[in-house]
Amino acid sequence: MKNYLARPLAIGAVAFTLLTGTTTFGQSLSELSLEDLMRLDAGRVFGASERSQPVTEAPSSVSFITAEDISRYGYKTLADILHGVRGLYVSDDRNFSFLGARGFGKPGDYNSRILLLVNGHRVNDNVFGQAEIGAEFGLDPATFERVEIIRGPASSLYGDSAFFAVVNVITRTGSAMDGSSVTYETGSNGTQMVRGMVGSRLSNGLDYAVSATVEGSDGVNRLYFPEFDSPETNNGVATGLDGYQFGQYYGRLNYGNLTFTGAYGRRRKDIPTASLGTLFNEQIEREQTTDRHTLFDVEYARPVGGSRVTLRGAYDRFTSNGFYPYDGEPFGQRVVVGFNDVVGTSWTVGGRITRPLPKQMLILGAEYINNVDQDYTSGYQGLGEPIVATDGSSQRRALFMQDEIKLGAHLILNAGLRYDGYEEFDRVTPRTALIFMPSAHQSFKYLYGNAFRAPNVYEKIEFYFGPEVASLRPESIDTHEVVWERYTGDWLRTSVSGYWYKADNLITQKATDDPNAFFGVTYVNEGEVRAKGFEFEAQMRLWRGAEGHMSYALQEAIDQATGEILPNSPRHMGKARVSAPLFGAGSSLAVEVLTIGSRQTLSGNWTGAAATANLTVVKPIGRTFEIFGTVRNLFDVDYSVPASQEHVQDTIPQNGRTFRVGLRVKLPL
Amino acid sequence: MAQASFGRRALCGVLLLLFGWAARADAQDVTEVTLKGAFLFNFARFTEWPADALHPDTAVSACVLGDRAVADAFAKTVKGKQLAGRTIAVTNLPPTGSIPACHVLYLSGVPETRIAEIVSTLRDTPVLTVSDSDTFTKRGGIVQIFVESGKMKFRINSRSAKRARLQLSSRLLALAEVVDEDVASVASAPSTNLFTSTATALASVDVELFGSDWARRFTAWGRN
Repeated sequence: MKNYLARPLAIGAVAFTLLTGTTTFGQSLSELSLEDLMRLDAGRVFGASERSQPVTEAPSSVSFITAEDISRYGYKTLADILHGVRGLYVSDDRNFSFLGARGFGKPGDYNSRILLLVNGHRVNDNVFGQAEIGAEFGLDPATFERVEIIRGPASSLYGDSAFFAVVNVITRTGSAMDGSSVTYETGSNGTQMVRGMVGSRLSNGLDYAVSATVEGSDGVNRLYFPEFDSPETNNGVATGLDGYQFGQYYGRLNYGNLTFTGAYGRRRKDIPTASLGTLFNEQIEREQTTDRHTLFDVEYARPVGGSRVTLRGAYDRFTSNGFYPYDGEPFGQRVVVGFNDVVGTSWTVGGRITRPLPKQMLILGAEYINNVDQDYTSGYQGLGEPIVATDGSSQRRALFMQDEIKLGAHLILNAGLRYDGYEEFDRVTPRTALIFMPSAHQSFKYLYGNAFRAPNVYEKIEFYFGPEVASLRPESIDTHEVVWERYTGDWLRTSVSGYWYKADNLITQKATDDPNAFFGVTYVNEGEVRAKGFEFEAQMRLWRGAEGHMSYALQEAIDQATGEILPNSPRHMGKARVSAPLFGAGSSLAVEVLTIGSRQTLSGNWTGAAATANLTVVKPIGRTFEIFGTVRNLFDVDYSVPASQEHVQDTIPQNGRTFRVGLRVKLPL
Repeated sequence: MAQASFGRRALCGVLLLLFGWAARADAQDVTEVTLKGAFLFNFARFTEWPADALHPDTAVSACVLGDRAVADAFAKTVKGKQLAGRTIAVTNLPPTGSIPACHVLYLSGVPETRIAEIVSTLRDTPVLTVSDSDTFTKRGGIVQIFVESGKMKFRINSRSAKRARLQLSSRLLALAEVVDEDVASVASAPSTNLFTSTATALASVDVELFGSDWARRFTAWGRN
């Protein structure tokens, strides 16, 4: 286990020494052409304050991934992107991808403590509160312009779910796409993908972008689970049950101050793990889920006087259908199929004003969310009425403000406050940051944050979890963080961060004797966790268009009740990636190395530490064609991640080496 | 077990970085500020002033109002550089007071009303006005720089450039978002308080969506 980690780290260190030793870093900006300057990242972030601001002034520790990174590193899902980011880690249970941050990644938590935004608009569903980050997210990363990762609580701006981090996906404009393209990809496990994109900005100022992606895969054909290794259950081998299909459609239209965004994504996934006590290797009535996300969003933003006014209306719909095969013997059948149908629909209207005042930047906003459907239905097919049918709806209103005050030439005080009114409770959430900037290239930040997460509809299903869940309260977190960000030379951006988190009243699953709780488990407000950690990140612009990035995170999240480290909470994570245009202009060879320390499983065992590497090559051929290929898990490292309570397995194996190759045909308009 | 060695490796990494850092700590940074400095240099590079405004033997005079950091970055960028045999002199202007004769003028962080006032005074003089203000080209400024999708871009008001008798190179125009705008209504609506701003915005939603302006521009597109 130690060797897995040692080798790539050593290689990384050597490579880095070589790089630092033998190259003169990046050309000075004054040597670059205007075209090159326009390709450089200006180091701005939007989601930290709901306004575009330099990273150094943001009241958070921020990372971002650009469209160039996505194409160079062959990222196919948001999960791929986030797994490479400092301090984040993704666990895939072969159906959903779960995001861990700052030491919190408890198996069975539905990503409800991470807020996922698309262009600043909340897309966590309103039943599980889940941020779906795999292909089920419904948007193709090829349509992302940028992904901002804003660490720490941000409930003072966004309310619910902005607990550990906010992930803001900014989608591409027509002018960024500038043309049309058709892409075909094929790869391991019978994977095939077709994508068509077209986008442009017309001379009259109308900007449009449209994209459609369809992908299918057989998945890993034979998956072995030792927990099921007996002759009745195919000796633990799940055959042909890992496939998926998805479609992802995106459109964006901008004219003047008005932007319209629409997206629809649908993913169907077979589940090979026999989760939730289902039959293992059932081939006819497969365990399967289908998730759909629909988003329509209209934004109107314009300067008025010296202020900027933004008004927004959005419609979101999430549906999920699951099929679960169970032993049908008690009913005189071979199999009975359990199902659940989830429908979450919401309307959001909101607005905000960003107003510069002398030495201040004031943001005032309001938001109203009408959750018209929060429905959860579950039962057995052909066996009468559903056993659970929750027909929910709710409303929420919020007011927020944030003020950035310049205290002298080098000091910024950033203070925010948000009121959230729910039907059962109210919350007021503050955030404060003190930012000291000795120069435009360096900043020291002290950040205090508070956040909450409201109990979600699922956690409050009394039939499953007993009547007591009706009294669940929001969980909360208080955080302190110190950040040092610095730009050095023409080539280096570094960020160092130390944090201390105190999470209380965490909504925690617990066994119960209550005969009214169908599953024998309930949710209670009793988890208390203290977490602390240190993170370091360096982003480098090397020579002739080469770029590098490395990060390290050390973290410790302790459950106060047991005094133990939380399950699925690795102590160390080291990540490095380098890309270089080795085969001419527009080409790239990119390598990513991800190492993650061992993690405790729910049953108290430890998974091995793992280091995996991914390699991607992109090469344009003339002006029209581009070929590319990606090998993920290059060294075919065998590793697994801790499983949730839904599983018999203690750990879930992850993919070995897989590859994809593709051809893109670009057509000018 | 693995922890101690892990810590050591992490430390090595940090040390390596510090090493690299120290090696080049004197160079310029890729921050928004330095990007602005580099953009300003390029704007000057691709602009031709009328002969009466810039004699062959004089230096190009560049002024920065309201952003000391940009002035410093700009000065650093042009250090040792020449434009057609001329040197460039960058001056950081005090926030108040009159504007001296400059060939390039960058305005930032000053109230919109002041920007409007300066732009209208300089409208018919050969000064390349540049700003990061949201409404700069609408107010008659020549170049507006802005960040979109994480990258720095710029918009040029070709009408304002013409009035100022500045010849902008085709290469610059090809990279810019070119608009041809007369001084628009923005200048006449200097609303100062939050409530009137909101009201104006709400009212203009209607105009934007259904108003004659939208319809006119849309039909113009149809004809193109």
